[in-house]
Amino acid sequence: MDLQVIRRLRSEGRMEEAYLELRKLRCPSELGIAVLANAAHVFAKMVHSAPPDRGLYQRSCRLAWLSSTTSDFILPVLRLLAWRDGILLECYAATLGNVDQEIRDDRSGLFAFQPGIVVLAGNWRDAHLPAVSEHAKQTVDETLRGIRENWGLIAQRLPCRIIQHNFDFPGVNAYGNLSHTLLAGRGSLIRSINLELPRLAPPSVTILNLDEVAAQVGYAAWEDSDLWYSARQHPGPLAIPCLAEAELALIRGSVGLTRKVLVVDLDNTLWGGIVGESGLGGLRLGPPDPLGEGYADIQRYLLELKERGVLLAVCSKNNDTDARLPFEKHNGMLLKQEDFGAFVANWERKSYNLRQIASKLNLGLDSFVFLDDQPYEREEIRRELPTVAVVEPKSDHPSDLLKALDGGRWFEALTLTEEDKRRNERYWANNERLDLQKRSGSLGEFLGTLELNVESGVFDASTLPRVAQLVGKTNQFNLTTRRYDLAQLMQFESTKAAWTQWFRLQDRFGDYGIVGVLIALPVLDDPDLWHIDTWLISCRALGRGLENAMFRCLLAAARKRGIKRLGGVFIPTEKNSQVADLYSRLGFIPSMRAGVETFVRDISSDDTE
Amino acid sequence: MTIIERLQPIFRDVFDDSNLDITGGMSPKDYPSWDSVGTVRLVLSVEQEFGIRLTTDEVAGIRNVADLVKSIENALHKV
Repeated sequence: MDLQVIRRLRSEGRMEEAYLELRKLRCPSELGIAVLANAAHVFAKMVHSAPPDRGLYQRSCRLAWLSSTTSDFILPVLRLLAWRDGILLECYAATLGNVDQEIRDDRSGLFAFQPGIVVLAGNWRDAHLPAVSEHAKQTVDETLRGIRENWGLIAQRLPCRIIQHNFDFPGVNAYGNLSHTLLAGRGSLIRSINLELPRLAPPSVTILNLDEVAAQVGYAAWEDSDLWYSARQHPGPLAIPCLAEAELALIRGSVGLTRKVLVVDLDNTLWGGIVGESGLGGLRLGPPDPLGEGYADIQRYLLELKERGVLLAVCSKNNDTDARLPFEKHNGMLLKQEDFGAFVANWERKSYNLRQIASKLNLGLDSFVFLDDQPYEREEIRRELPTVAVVEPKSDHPSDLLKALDGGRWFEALTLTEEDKRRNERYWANNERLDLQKRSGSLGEFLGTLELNVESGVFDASTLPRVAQLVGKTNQFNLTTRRYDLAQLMQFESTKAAWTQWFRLQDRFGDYGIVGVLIALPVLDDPDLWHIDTWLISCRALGRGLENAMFRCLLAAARKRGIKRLGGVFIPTEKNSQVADLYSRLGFIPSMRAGVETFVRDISSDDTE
Repeated sequence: MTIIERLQPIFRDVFDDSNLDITGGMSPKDYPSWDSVGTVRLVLSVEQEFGIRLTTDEVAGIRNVADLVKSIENALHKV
């Protein structure tokens, strides 16, 4: 990312290229705050004078920043990093120091702005804790009560996600170590409060561990007294890139842009050495070899990613048999072949292989992360597949590979559901399904042998997190692509008039979990009509006729409530063309209304679809 | 390179102007984006480029580019 290049492109009126050049921003922590702040200033000017085309980004989001410190420096950087991640962020900041008033005044700018995300960007000073408390438990409880009150007041008026900072520690401390060892010391109080926050947080509140970000940055950079006294900037400017990345990881999670697949190389990435050249004996993996231990730690990390639902894939330039040999015979290996949803070892270009893997897993390349020790391979992927996130390590040492992978926070998630934990099992089971498909004849025969079973129910507390996940990220089988967040879905659940339904699919090989969502709403001036607001199916459950089961369920529910007509719209996007004719296939009559394709079907007679 | 020659690309990046040619007399009133936030960005870039640290008082005392050059010279001599 070169500011000179961007200036030249803009002066030549080539705004789209200038916007894309900004996307090449890499390693904000390496670039440093000076360069970032300048680039952020330029981006803000560009958006103000020539807003980007809708096709240039994936999500737009309104974010309110509530803080007692200045937001002049961090917000422009947040907007720039959000742009890098395909998000157009519009920001609102309350006037310095007026957070409580802003939340309690229902005519404040905060509520007028209608944000989808509210960041309660506090720090240790906002807790007003004494060095030692007379009544430690009372102090902790009061602080927590104040924070929960703010959540409640915001949630009452806004269906939004709240990102709540926990408390960092002051940079200087007259009590020193005692602050933490005395039960009533300020350090202990902060720890107690931070411990309770995640336990008290409702589903729509996410805690950002400010104390951890500060620990990563280090207090020398975190506390910059000069800029605190002169500009009320906290943390210090050198810490802004790191804090902004931590905020972005949660913002990406909130808008459904958490990445889903990690593609890894083998030689000198999962083990030291080149298996095709030196054979099993030449590989460095595991103790007592220090370098080998580094590779074992990478494998261990990948296993933990897999256990929480990240899909793993291998893409290696190797003969297939050589590539599989360590998995089969090397006893230092922690990963097994079954841990991977795809395993590709050949001599093709990796960009070609990644496209094949994406097609096989039925996921977009924009949900991929690529880990490879070779700069040549990384450059090839960056050039050919710009939507893939490429891990940029400082060196090819395994510890640098791991730090760069971890630091990218591409897989940061807000929740962990049962579906997440079993995702990799299902992809492996899917390989068995695909084999069966090859052996069966027609699609109908094949579906028959699968022994499909569908369950469904209305939204409730246990199913909402998974529903929110699907609503946030499903692109292909999605009629309207309405990205409701958890708080908004909770409102549908509590509105008796709305009809909500989740759908769960099982077959002979396993349980897909919840893979379908339907929301139908009554229409104000037409009591016989239900409008289908949301209809989606997860990509892994496509081609199994689930939409027909969903429609039968909707029909039954509508008829039971005396509804005579169903209406729906198809809102086209780049990715959902496969459902353009869904309503027509189900017997709906199309018409154009205010430029939108609307479909209606009479359901009052007794015929089934 | 003189200090002012090293400041040239910094000013161009901070104030987003490839045609900017700085002179000692240049001051905030010549540039709309040279506000308090602009000053902080300028100081961050200067501190990074020259490997120095400017105090709050020094920063507050910068009325024009010539003052900035002087502050940088002072800071470099301290090192």
